[in-house]
Amino acid sequence: MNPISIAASAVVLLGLGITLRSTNGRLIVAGVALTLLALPLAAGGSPEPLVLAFRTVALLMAVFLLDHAIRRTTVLLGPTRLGGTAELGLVAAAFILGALLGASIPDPRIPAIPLGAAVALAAAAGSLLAFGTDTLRIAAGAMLLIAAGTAIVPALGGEIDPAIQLAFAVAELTTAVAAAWLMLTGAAVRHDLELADRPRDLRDAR
Amino acid sequence: MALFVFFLSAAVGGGGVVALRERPKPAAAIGLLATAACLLAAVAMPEVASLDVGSTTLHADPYIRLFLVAAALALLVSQVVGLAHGWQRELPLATLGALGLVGVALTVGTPAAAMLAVAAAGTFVVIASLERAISMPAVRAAASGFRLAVVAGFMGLVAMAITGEDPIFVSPDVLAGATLLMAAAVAIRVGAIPVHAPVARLIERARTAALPLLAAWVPAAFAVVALGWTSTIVALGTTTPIVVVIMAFGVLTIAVASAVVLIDDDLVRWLGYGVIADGGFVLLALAGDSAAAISSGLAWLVCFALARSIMACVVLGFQGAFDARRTRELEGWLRRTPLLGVALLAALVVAFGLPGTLSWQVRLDLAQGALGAPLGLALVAIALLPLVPVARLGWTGIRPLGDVVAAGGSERFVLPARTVATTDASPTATQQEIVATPPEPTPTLVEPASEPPIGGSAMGSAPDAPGAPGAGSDTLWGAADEQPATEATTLSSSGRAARAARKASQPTIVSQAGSDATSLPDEDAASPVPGSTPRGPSRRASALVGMRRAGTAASASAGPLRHALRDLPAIWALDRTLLASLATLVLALVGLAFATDLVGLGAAAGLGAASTPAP
Repeated sequence: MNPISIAASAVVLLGLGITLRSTNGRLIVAGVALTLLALPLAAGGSPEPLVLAFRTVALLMAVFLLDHAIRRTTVLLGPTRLGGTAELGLVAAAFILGALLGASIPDPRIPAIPLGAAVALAAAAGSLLAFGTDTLRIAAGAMLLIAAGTAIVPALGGEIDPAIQLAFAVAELTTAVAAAWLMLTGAAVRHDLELADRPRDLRDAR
Repeated sequence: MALFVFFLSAAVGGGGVVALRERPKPAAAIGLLATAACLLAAVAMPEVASLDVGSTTLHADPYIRLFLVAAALALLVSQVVGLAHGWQRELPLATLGALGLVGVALTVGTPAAAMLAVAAAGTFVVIASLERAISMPAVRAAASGFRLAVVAGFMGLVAMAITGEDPIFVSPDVLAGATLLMAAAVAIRVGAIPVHAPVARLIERARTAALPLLAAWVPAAFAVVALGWTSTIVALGTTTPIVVVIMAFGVLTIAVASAVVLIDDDLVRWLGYGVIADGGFVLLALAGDSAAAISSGLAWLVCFALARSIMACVVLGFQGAFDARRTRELEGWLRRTPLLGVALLAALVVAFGLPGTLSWQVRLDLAQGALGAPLGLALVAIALLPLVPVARLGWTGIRPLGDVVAAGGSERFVLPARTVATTDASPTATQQEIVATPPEPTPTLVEPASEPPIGGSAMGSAPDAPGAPGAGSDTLWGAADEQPATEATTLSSSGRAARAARKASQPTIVSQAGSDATSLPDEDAASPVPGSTPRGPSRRASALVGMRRAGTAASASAGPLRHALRDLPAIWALDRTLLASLATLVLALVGLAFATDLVGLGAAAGLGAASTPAP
């Protein structure tokens, strides 16, 4: 096993843990940034330097946009419907299952750890999209899900060419733009990032 | 070169729109110009074009060229109609971003990169979905649309990753799983039943001007990418039994969505469920398991997106002219907006086809390929059910004018010079009043522009009865910014009862001489603040006054044609209903050219060829 890949996978899992457990918006964005920046090394193979630089700059711009939206609204978030600890357990289980699946396949093109990282990413993203009740977690889930889809390609033996790397960077950036817009627009209605209706004001009740 | 110009126009235009985001008019103009440049680049594109970007080559074939031409034109027209009838500030940026990303998705050679690009387009266009008056249900619908775009993209990526670059080594079971996953992704994206709820909610809540982008072109591009991937599976010649499941969902979607529109007279819902029903044909193309089915699906996708774009522009025309979107409110609409009627008729031909046209033939081929000849014909007949509400709409249109339509705009062309000739050119004519809307009388607010008003307030002196010259509801977008030195803007309570009761939050500008009534687009409908610098309504009212004064002075010595040429910007201002209808009609005619295969869409999609081109 490649030690760099293992270390990068550990960083990816750490980022996912921060993203899932935190109720502070800026910490969630930091977790997403950590995960996405470490992902190329965890997914196996390192892209060309120019492509890596483009990808890194695009990801930094994307997380900056999310951070900007948070600073203009609020950093405080409520817990998810499932709960951060349960989601973290789900992600850990997904990582183990993915790694075991990769190890059980005799094809040498399918590495265990990158497959585990990709499945863990997909589980975390799915959890955030399904159980998140605020626009920031939906944005984080969307960015992680795109990353998971990209990471699964090499994890299943495919080749990541520069076109995929560039398309991934552009996809993350445009998703962050749309998510930041969604966060700011939603916050204009109810002054936080939650998607639920405003609580009823009983003073006007008759 | 043309491909490069296409992407450059989208990128530069998008950057310009972002840079001028705080100035809506220049941003809208840049958006229109950049979209027009994309259209010209797509038209000028040769049959086969390529562009090298580093080690990657973007490659366009005739089908992709036609897709980009149709998409750019439809999105340009939807922007023009949106500008006339209800502007959405984010629409130019979303349009240009989507055009660029869809262009990349269709031309890039790597399937996974194409799927990433088209998923990115799906998330990005969500920014055009919300209206200015935002509510939490609308935000939730937008978030739901955002979610489904990402989830569909992920499922498509996983399907591609499972099969890899050499699907010939993959077992049939794995191929079946990947095919099912891709079909599920397409079903989510086009809103097939039973996963139609997010798309239906998004269509109902979104701005109508954004619907061609949100519900037609980006989902169509997603389906093109999915069909391109499916063609590689079909080329293996491996038939999987899973296609029966996909086929069943396609048939269910067509039948149920076509039947649902019978019980609702809301035209936006009619449009939304039509989109969903059309998505069923895309599923049939995926399940067809043959090159012919994929070719039919590719041809159908362009017809589908064009037809729904035209219909969205027609519905937007109804909303803009009459502020109505229900059939029962539109009594006599055909008398006031006959061009919209022609455009709607053309849209029906593009969407449903006539025997002998391409759109009819591909629908029939897809249905018969899935169900066999008699059942396929029955399915196509069921898919014609949405024509019943259209017939009801047509019957409503030829009836005598109802209150809503009578109080609304019309497509009648009024030259600015003629309008000016009826206007009093005395100094009191420079006073403008903004008629705030009933139902409740509101106090008169005087907004000094640069100096105190001359004369008193003019309460309710607006003889703008339907049929009177200039009684149409017009906007002053594009009018000159010249402003008289002495001017007052008065907010009073008067106006047409039926229309005003419906448009409770949109003020109407009426000249004191009573010859024109001007309603403002939503983006500019903010209430003027007393004592503030004249912006929005008052600036436009001032521009109208300046235009009239110039026209009155000149009308004594020049003919109407000369006035018309000189006052071209004012024509846009005064006849927005007509111009929006004309733009819709142009799109409808182009749609007919596609649907009747005059442009060679069938051959470009591979119909009649031995093998299907894989976009």
